[in-house]
Amino acid sequence: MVEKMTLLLLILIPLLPLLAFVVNIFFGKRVGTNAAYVSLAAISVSFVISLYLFFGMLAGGEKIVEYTFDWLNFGSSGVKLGIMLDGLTAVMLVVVTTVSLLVKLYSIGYMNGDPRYSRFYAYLSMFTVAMLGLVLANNFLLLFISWELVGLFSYLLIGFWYEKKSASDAGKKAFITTKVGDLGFFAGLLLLFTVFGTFNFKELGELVIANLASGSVTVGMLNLIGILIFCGAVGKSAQFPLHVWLPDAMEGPTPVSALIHAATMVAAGVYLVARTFFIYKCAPLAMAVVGYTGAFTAIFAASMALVAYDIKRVLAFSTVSQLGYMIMALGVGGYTAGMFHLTTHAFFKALLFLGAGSVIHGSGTQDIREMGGLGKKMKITMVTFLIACLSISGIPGFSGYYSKEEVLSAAFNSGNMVIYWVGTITAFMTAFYMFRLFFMTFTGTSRTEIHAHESPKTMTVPLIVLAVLSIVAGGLFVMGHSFEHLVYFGVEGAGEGGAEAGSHFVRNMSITVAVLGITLAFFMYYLKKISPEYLAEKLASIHKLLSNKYYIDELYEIIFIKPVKGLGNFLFKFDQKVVDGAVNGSGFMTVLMSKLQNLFDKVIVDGAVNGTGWIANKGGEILKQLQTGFIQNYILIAVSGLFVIVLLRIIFK
Amino acid sequence: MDLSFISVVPVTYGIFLLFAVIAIASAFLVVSVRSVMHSALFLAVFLLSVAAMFFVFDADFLGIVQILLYVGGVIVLILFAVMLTSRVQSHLLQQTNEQKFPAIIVCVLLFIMLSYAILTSGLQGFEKSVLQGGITGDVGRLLLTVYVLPFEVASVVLLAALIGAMAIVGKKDE
Amino acid sequence: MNSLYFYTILIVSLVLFLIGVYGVLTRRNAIGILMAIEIMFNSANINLVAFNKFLNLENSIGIIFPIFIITLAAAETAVGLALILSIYRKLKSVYVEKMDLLKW
Repeated sequence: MVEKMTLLLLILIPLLPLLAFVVNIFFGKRVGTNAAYVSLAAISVSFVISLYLFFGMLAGGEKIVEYTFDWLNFGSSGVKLGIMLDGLTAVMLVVVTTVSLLVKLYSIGYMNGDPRYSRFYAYLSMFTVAMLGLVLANNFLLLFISWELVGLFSYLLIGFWYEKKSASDAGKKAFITTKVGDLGFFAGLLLLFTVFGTFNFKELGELVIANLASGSVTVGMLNLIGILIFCGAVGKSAQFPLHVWLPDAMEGPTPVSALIHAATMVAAGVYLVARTFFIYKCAPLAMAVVGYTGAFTAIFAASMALVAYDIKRVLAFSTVSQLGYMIMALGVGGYTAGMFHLTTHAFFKALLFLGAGSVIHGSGTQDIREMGGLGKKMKITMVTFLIACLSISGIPGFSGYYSKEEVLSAAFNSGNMVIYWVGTITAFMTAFYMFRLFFMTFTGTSRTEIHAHESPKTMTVPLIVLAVLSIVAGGLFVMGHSFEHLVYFGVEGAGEGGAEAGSHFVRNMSITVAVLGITLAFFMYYLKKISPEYLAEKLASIHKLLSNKYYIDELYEIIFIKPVKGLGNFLFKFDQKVVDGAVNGSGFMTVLMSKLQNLFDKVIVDGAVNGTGWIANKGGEILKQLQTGFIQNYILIAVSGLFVIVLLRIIFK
Repeated sequence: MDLSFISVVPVTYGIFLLFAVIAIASAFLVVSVRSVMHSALFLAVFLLSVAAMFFVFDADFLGIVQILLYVGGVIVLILFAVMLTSRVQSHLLQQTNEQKFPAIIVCVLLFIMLSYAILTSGLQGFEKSVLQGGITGDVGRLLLTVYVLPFEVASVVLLAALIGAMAIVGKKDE
Repeated sequence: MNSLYFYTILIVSLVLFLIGVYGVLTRRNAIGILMAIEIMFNSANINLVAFNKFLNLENSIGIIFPIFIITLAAAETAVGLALILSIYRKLKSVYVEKMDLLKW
């Protein structure tokens, strides 16, 4: 009974936003500005249910509910789909619905007056549905279907202002780049199904261990599957080398950036790796690939954030970097750490984006070089932004500190020092560039003439809520290791906060680098003691490299885009030639055939007719000689005939 | 003296042969002389010899009829026609034949074939002599009893021929 | 002996008939053709009379028939000559090669 109730609630969670989507998309004109309320209503209910389920799970221990139904049947075997609820899913549900709700609230103010208001809300709702489907899926296939849906709606949302060419291009870039990753993902899925015969997480978890033990599947095969599936995560979570779409995706409206790129879609990749963890645990090569990719991406993106001057761009690089952190954590076995960081990141990154949106809305510009001293006029925004910066930098007391420490501890305890130091340096850089951003935007005097005003309540309230969460979410973990109990892998309590000495060292190290970073930024941008321009001059070449994002976009342009475009053009021309040729050719053939037939008709048909006439004529001319008009000739013939008759009579007597 | 060994048959046969030769010769001449006048006259000779043959065959009435009608009537007619249609320069100058060779061939072939037919026919002939009073009475009786219809019809035919001939030849006055 | 006589007569009449045929086929003068026809008639008569003499025929048909033949031949000759005269008036010639209106 309880199970049935839970299932019903579970289905309601994505179903309500789906209804909101249908209403907004088909009746958008009639709904008008009420579209926001439709979506909000739906998501609020989903949010409440998610919270209820989450706290139920926290309290009641491990309860895993699952429901499966047949989708395709091939005789005895088949493909099943289904939804489930376990600790991981519960956490994700809360994250997704919370951020989704706050973003929808925020957008009332931000998207006010936009001509396609209802459609925006429709897309937001449907995106939420897809994301919820992704986390509710109990098998890879449904996850993949939702994955693709998420990709589609992110494309639609990024390119929402499609009149701007840069926006529509950005949407395309996002979609295509993630699609590249999806190829690998799908290949991995097919391989998985071929080897194990099922998509279901639970079944696969058991099968992998059993088959490995019995030797019917090799570690090499698992490595391959693991790496292929990871490709999907690389694409969606914007890891190197498929990170190029995320900075450009800032063309979309800021609420979209908050929802998609801070909290949900990009987190889908991390979630995927978490779900696939049973393979990675048994495939060390794949796990290493995951770990190094994450680590590299973290430091790589952070370096680019150091020199960016567009608010959203800095935040984009920061997102990529933090995602790298999460992936890295999973790659060194820190399952719980990674997911925890995902949760905290969702909150403070969403806050950062929404805050940036507020700044943009209030000041009219996105370039931080033009800003300064906004704090005086936008108090709420400043305070909440500050909280988020402190959280992301890993200052104790804020949730980000707890999750970062978990990640670095996992790295340290796994024995992989390279990854650990990379992570630590990245933490330093993170603190630095975040506060650089903060100081340049909110403190000091205004660099240019701009009118700044605080944003409306619908925008500031979500900021406040998120700020609170950014502080509090850390507490969740501390409180009786409850997160740890919910989100863990296998039976081992993978909260890798074990070894004493190691954890002290890690803790001290992470606080130190965070403070160092903030201090440096303070000197450079608040006190203006060290000039950033001077540094830029001294390290000009490095500065140029970082500013241009290491020229990777240009590289891709040359290697991939130009050839494909060229091929497209060539094929078009070829098609034209062939098709036109075919059409012309057929026309020509028709004319030729008709000419031939004409000729045929003239020569043969007319010839036959004329010939017949000619034969009759000539025959007549010959035969008419018989008619001499001379009776004696006739009599002669008659007598000859008589002779013949008599002869015959005599012979055949 | 007993002359009975001289049978009648060979004698009549010889007389017949004589007239036959005359007939054949004159017939041949009819069809081969150039002048129409001459051929008409030879036709007269032919007809006379045929009449003679009739007499040899004991068909005396028929012979008389032959002489009366043919020699007396037909020949006169023909002579009239010849004289009416002859031109001054016509006789003795032109050939009176044209498709000679095919005709000769056909005739010869026919002769061979038909003579073969006759000679192999197996006909048995018994000469019977009718020496008493001739056949005239018989013929007359037959004509008026058994063959009265043909007789009457023949007279109608003659009438028709008479009228027809006059109609054809008669000049139409405009 | 009788058969020889008989056959001789038949052969003779055959020869005469064929002479008549030859004449019909050969003569250029229309009247000449008529004369050849007369010859043919007469040969038929001879034949019939021969049959009458040598075979037992009922009612002396071998005599009666020739009578009618003679009659009709005469009538026919008369009409034929009338035709020839008529043609002569038109064509001014009695040669059959000129009478070729049936020619193509």
